[in-house]
Amino acid sequence: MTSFLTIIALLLSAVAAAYIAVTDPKRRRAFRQEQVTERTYLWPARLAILGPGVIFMLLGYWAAMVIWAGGVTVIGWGVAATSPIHIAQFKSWASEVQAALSARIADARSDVVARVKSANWSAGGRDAEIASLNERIRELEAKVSMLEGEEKPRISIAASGGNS
Amino acid sequence: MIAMSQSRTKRLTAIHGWSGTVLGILLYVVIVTGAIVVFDNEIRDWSQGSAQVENGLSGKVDRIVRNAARGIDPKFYEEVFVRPHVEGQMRVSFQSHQTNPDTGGLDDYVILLTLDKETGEEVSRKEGFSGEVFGADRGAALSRFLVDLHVQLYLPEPWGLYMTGILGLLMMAASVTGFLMHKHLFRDAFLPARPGERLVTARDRHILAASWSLPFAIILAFTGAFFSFALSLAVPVLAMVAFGGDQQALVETVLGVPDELDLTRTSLASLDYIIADATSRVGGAPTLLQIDHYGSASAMVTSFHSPAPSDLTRQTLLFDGVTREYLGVKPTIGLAPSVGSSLVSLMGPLHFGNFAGLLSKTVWLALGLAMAYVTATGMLLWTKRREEERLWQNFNRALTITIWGLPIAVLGSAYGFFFFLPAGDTVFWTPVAFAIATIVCIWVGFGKKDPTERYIRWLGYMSVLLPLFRHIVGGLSWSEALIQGQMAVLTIDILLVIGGLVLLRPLRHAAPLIRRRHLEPAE
Repeated sequence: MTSFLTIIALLLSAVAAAYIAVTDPKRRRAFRQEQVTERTYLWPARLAILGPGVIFMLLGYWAAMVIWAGGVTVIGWGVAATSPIHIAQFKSWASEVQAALSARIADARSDVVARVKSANWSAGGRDAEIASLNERIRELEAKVSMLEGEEKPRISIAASGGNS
Repeated sequence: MIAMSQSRTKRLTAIHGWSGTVLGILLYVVIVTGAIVVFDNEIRDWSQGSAQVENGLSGKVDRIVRNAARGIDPKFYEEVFVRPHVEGQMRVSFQSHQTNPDTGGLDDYVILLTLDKETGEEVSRKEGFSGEVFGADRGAALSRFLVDLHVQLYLPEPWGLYMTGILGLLMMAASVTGFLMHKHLFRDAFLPARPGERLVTARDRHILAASWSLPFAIILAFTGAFFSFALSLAVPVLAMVAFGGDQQALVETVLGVPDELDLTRTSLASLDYIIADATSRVGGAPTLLQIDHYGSASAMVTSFHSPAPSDLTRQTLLFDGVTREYLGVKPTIGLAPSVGSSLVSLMGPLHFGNFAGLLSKTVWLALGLAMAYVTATGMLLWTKRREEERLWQNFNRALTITIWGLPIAVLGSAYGFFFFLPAGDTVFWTPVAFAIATIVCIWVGFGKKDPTERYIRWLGYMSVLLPLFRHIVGGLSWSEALIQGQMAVLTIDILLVIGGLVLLRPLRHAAPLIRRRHLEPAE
């Protein structure tokens, strides 16, 4: 339970740290990004970063407090060290991977559809061939019955559907 | 953050830089090995590949300890330790304080018995001074070597401890001066390194990591220096000043041993009853039982327990060894609770990070790696500022060799350990393999070309192949590990493979590979 609470607290602090990093004016200036013009929620974010530690202390969860304090320094550093350039690179890499994967998925899908269709068509073609052969057999049988008085012809149909 | 004159800032910069650089390479070794040995027990379980050590004492402990004691000379009843071992076994050690002829100092002479937990049958027996008995464990040679490297840089006692103590103090000096020097600690807390490979970039990297890890850098440096100097310097000096050089008298006074001992032979109270009582009081079985003056009228039993979920320090209860009466919580120092005792008992958990299982250990590993990064970037920054000078060019190369060569040598020691584990002296060959890997890294490192790329490649291949090598030489397989509940084997193997693959960087090329395959039909 304590471990679970600590992980939740670390996640909360990480999100708050990320928010502060993204809206930090000095950071945006250093990387020539436009300043955030909308209202920012810096104080709630600062409270969210540090709040869990205070709550753990008040509750007497000393182990959770110390783990959280250690974790927040590492996570905070990780968040702060991820520059807008890294984020842009990651976004571009992710979109490249996503585009490549979607293209491959689309290809695979159309390939499968084509194969299924082709299989259906070939299956349908065979049926039509059988049907036409059956039709031919019926025609020939009709001729045979018409000529029945003169001579009895010998007709055999091969399994492949051909005639002789 | 703190307004200072230019000359004072200059002086602080000099103290900060020199304190980090003079012994910085050794400090880096201590920090990296410290980060690794946070998982000391897990590395031991992974390397020796036996069943997992049980968490607490249970079963018919009393009968087994009594039977074992019958075959032991009563002069070794001074201290008896009972601890859990691998599944189905427990370990009982009978100890007495004697002068070690090799060192001339006071040492523990130990008779260590590994016993079957059900029948009490003797599985193995070792006898000798503590270093010989516990140091000769072939299966634990790798983790013991890494711990020795961290604690005393594999130097002889007490010189290694002096050295790591001094390194701890230097790290504290660097941390405090860094804090005083940096004017915009909070304002720059979210300012990452500016792009490029300029001096300012190196500075940004160092300052950002150092700012965030500052509180724990001070804590880890202080506690580390405390542990190094407490044993190597404080005990002999205090003993000399206050006890006429009698270290045993000092230890007994500090730890709180009653003044008068009655060594009349008396039957020991039921250990099973004491274990049950202690378990009900703290909500968990003891991880260690210590019996002082076994079988005498002054016998005392101390039960050690893991920390409660919300606490940092382990719980220690004291029982009368004859009447089995609960005497209360045993402070670390002295017989009555005190602020000093509480502070001393906090040193261990704050330094080792072992108070809340894998979660706290993982955070401490990350903290250790962050410190290593701060130390390395600090030294690189120092050399970058002086890159025109030949001396600092050579120092820079030595830094590169240490930064990458150390993890390669650690993996080399693991290869050496596994190679000799089936039939060889791992205690001897593990450090030898480390030394061979170190020499190879130094040899390659001082060539004409920058060795960084080559080191990274080696490190990647060595990490990826180590689990396979471990398995080939007869280590526990993954299926056996799963059956025996030995999760350390799986976890460390997987982490090594992932770490190696990251270093070999196939991920960087993942997107182009996918795209190329996609384009192939059109081409």
